[in-house]
Amino acid sequence: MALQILLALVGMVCLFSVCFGVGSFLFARFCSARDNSLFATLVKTGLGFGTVGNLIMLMCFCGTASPGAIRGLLIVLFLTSMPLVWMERTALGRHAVLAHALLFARRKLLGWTLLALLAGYLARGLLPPTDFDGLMYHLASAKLFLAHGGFYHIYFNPQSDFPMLTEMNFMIGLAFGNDILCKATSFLFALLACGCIAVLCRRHCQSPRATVPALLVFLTFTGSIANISNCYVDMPLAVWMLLAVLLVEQFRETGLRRHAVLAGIFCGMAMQTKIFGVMVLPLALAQLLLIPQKQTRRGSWADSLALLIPAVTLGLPWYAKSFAHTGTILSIGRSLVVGQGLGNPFGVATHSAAEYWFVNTLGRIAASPWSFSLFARQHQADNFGPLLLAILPFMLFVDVPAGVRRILAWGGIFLAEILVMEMWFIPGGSSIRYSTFVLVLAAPLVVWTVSRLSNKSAVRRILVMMVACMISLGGVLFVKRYYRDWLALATMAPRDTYLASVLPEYAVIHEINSIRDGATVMPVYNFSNYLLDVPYVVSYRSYPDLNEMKRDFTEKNIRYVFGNNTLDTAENRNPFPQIKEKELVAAKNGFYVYRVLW
Amino acid sequence: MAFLRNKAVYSMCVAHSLAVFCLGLVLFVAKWFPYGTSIRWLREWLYRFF
Repeated sequence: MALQILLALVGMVCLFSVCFGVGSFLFARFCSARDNSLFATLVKTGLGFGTVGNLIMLMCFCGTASPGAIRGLLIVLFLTSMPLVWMERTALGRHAVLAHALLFARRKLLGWTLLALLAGYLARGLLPPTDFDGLMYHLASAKLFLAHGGFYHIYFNPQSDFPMLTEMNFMIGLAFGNDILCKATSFLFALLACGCIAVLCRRHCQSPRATVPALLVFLTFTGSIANISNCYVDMPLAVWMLLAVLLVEQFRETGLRRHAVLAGIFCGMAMQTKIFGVMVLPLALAQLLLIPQKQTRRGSWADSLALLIPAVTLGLPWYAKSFAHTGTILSIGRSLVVGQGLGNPFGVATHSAAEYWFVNTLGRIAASPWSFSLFARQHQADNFGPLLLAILPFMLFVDVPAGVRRILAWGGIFLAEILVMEMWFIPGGSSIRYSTFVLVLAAPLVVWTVSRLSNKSAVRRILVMMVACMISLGGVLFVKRYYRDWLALATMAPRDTYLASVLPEYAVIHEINSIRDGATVMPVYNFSNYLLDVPYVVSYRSYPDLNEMKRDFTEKNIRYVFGNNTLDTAENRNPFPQIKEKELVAAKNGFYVYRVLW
Repeated sequence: MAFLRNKAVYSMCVAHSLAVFCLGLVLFVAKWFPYGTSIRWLREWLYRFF
């Protein structure tokens, strides 16, 4: 695995160079080519990721996305972008010098802690992917599309019709036969998020010194610990959304419509990244038309169109693809994102319809600050943590500049959108990682608020203690959760050994991958699809009778069933108990694979 | 919002922050470091209560 890790590191640097170079070329068409600020660097890199991802998307639509073609595209882009990167080397060097000054000019302990956290996340990003959603569909779909040469309807994986811009970037790693590069790419997205926080601290909070503590707060949120360096798409979604609203702000300052177009491109990238990215449109339009900004012109409807047209144009292919395959842009509309209106989601009549309506609307809105910050959410039982609710109310007692008010407005509008979405589509509660955008905004606000309270105030000392306590606890959680990963990296454990140490099902998957008879495997209540190297069809339907099951299995050449009994439920104990003619092929850690003897 | 800048609201903010932080701390420890019978009992009780 050592060579793969080394190549992933080199690949990460090369991919950044490609994206930065391509983005610099495009950026010069929209803004001053001499803009060397950190914000400009983030926009350039983002544009590069968007361009590369969209080119691969086009190849997938044309059915030409073979590994060789993607490798060729990247090599051409690398060679053409190198001169541009060389021309921008002074800007990149300046960022490095500024980062060094921020880290070590004052309070060196904080700087070293931040570096240790980033090193820990990078180390995680240099191991094979093991995250649940990544293995289930982010990487699994990209692997199937790559093997197929482009998009097709993966009927047994409903999530494969989600918008997948980030997965197109992950496909680069798969095309080069190195899935560690996919995780390293995720780490790059986390670095972009850190850059965005630095921009917020400098521009909006007018406090560059707040950058290091704000990054410590951000990197130790439980949501960040769980998601950074995983092959998830929430981090890039937050980055594209933030860059979009920052560009709208720039448009409001300059009045140049091409900035609105650029903002529209990032809105489109957010829409291409995840369905929740659609929420950036009301946010950007509110920023364009409503949120007051001194000495600037307010956007007109023509400006709104300049923003909307590129956004919708970029987002449309993914939603059209989803609609063509499933008849809905929600992709899994009928099964998971249930259109239950305001009815009781649990199917148990505990309240009258009117009572339930009030609890789900007014009650949910009133309780939202506490339910988002403290109490376990329905999905993954995570929350923002207590810092936001404990510290942000003190903003009432300090003078809040316009920049900070705008950050508050963005966070408020986004949370309102999440609430509306929960009321209509996910009555059981959404995952806190869908609100990563709020975490990126909240980290600088927390530090800024504490820094504005009087130096001698006892309350300030208490609040500083709270921040330090949560950072420390987050750090301990970070170590507790990932020390096995770092040990595996330090000892250069072989890939199979590492995967078997993290995933209890891997031993059986290893056996399945050694099957050479060309038959199809059906995983039942198993979701590590990406790791399967043989043909598979995830259990996707129920069968009314045995004959129908036999017909479907024969039609699809399904001769193995991969069962999971770790939950020890009646349904899982014996997958498809109606199949009497089967033999056990392999079993370990509660996972089984049977051969069907029909 | 100037009318909210008074001692009473400030005291309420301080009390609320302390309460929220203490509760958050307990829930954090109970969720992410659920070792020992008492912590497990506390976690179950808090989750049932809220």
